Amino acid sequence: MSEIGLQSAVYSQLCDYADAINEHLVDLKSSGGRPTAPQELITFIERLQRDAASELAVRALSRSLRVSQLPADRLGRLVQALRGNLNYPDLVTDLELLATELRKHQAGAYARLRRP
Amino acid sequence: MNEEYFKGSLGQLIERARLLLARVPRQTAREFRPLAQTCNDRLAGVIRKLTALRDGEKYRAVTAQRERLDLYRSAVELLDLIETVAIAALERQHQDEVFLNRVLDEMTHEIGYPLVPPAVSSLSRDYFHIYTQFNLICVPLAESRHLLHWADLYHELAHAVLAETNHPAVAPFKQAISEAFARVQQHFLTEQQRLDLTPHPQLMRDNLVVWLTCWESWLDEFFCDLFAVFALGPAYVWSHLHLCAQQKQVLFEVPKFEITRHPVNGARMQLLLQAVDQLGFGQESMALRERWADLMNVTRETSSAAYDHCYPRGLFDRMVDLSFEGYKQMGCTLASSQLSGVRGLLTDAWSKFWTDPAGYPQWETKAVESLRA
Repeated sequence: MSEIGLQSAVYSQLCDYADAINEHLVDLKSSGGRPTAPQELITFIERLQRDAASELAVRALSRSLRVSQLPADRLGRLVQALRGNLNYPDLVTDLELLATELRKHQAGAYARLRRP
Repeated sequence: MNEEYFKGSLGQLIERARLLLARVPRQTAREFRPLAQTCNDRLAGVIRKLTALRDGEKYRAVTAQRERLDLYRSAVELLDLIETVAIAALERQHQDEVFLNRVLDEMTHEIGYPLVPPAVSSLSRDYFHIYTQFNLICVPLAESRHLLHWADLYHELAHAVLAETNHPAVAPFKQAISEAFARVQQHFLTEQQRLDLTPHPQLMRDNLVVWLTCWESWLDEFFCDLFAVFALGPAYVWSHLHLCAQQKQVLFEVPKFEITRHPVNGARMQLLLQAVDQLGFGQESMALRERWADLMNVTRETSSAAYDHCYPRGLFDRMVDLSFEGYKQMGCTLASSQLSGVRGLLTDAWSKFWTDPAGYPQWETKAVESLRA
């Protein structure tokens, strides 16, 4: 009934996704090679491409990505690259954009969780 | 941000996490053991993460400092939540809470709840709510002594169902909400296209965008309400009517510019009444509608044309149908006219409330005492 029930699930899912992206970015930036992306990260980005997700966190993030610099076609390219362990010039930029959007949503959800 | 800062701060946080780990009670009531285990696991995970962020070579790459800071902040927030919510709940463990946990255990058993039952704590300063990451429901201090709002525990149980991302048992309900959201999107897209055909004020177009965004969150609340009414039956709707009478919220308010995350109480009641009809409680439905009309006569509120656009009847029909199927496919037990156990008690409570309002408080005290015995 209260805000916390909604926000705790959203926040916790956003944290999992944000941590997975940040960890992968650290691997990419520190190794200089092509580290394998974890399956949970690939699945998450795939779900962002689908409109009608069952989780509120994904629904909200998906909407804000549609009007951001990371629309569905770029998410598609990102998924393909991660799945095939491929690289392309904007791979890190795209992951950073996604991490930025996640960070915004995560901060909002945390604030609502702590001060509903 | 430099290496010295991370070294000092991460080291201090690791110590704090270890201290908290030592505060997790070893001797705890049976109902709180899963929460204690969750705290242990989460704290161990945080310590691992903080140690890696401090000592791991890869996190020292100059270009990875933004990500390192994000990971650090996530760990700080998680630690705060563990300390102020989960461990705070474990340290209380009043007899009232042990009792409420027993009640919730029975509730989940009666409906065939597909997940591990949450723990209940009386920590809440804000009505009923659940922290899904800890599987912990918080209720106000005196709730263990009163029956009329226990119905909301079923609503909170549904939040845990919707938050579960992997368990196959809850997949049908999650599929239902996913399909419902597709319907919502389709509805508002069609409305936008209809507005595009003829000149309409920009405000109407803007409203549709706001409403669609609101529905992203409303859907979760609506589905939690539907889960609760399918599980408990009319007693949940009586409880909601009680809430509508107690809260100062405008019953049929329509958002104009700001996104709201909860649907208005009037819309929730409209949906719940449809669900009661779906369950086949004809007589109860009539009684509920009469009392609801009484309340609206007092508040002098009615719905508007904008309300009907924002909360379309067709979407309500689909939500009820989809959630009903999803609920049944999870293997959960539907409410019926012959309820026993906690569900029977909550149904009796409302019956007593309306047939003998003056005698209700005394009856409730005795009923709770007898349940505690």
